[in-house]
Amino acid sequence: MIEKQFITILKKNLKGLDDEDKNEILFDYREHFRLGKESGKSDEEICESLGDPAHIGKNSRMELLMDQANRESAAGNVFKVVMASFSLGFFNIVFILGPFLGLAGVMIGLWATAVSVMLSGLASSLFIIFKPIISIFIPYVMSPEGVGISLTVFLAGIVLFSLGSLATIGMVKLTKLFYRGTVQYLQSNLKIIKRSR
Amino acid sequence: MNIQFKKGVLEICVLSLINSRDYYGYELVQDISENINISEGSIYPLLRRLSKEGFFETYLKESPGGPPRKYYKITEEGILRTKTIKEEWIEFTEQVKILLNKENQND
Repeated sequence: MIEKQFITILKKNLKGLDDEDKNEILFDYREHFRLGKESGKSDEEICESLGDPAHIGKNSRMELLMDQANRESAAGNVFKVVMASFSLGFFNIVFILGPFLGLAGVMIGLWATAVSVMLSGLASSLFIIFKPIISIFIPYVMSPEGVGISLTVFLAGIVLFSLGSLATIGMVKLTKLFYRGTVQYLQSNLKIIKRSR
Repeated sequence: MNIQFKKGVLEICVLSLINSRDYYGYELVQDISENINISEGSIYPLLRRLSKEGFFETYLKESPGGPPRKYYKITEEGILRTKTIKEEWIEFTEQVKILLNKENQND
């Protein structure tokens, strides 16, 4: 292998990183090649002693993405890290993708429940308040009859709305926890993989 | 030598060398690989990580007959870290030595 091939493979494995990070990494290895050649080594010798460029690239990329996910929370970042971990050849399709998708599914389900409880409560209360107006436009609208029943529906609506709101706030917290947890799990995973190499 | 040993020791060596004077990447890699047999490519990610953690600063310096080289310089934090990690290492190896001697006595 010669310098050009080494750099090409390395570059290929740094896809998706900021140009700044990418250039910094490439700078280091280019300098290494330049100084190695100045001291009379051949391309092959230098490549040999540097090690596998794909491995170097994947590991550098993983570490930077992990860093980014730790600094700025965003669903996209976590997803990137999960995907990058596959490219490292983890045994992770089972150990990461399974639990990750499962938990993500549960999170979506809980979100849907919390939001729909909140919205249905809001809708019931608003319906009772605006019933006189609504029935002008839609005369045969189905509605509970009698002041007592209306009041019950109205109050039940408020209760549901409050419960739903609380559940939604809870979900915001839970989602943050899930995010942190995923990043940390991947980090410990990465450490284990590195140790075993 | 066992690969796990090397990885742990590498960080101590890098810190300790740069603690003694400023290095540019290539000469640091040469100094280390002269004594420890390791794939040289793995030293650069370590240098980047330790810089990011605030133990080194980098600067570019002109070199005779070529483009400028990137030098690594130890920071205050780095000096502290070197001291701690060296002490830990010495303490650890002392303990291992004691254990290994016990084994010899039992023989």
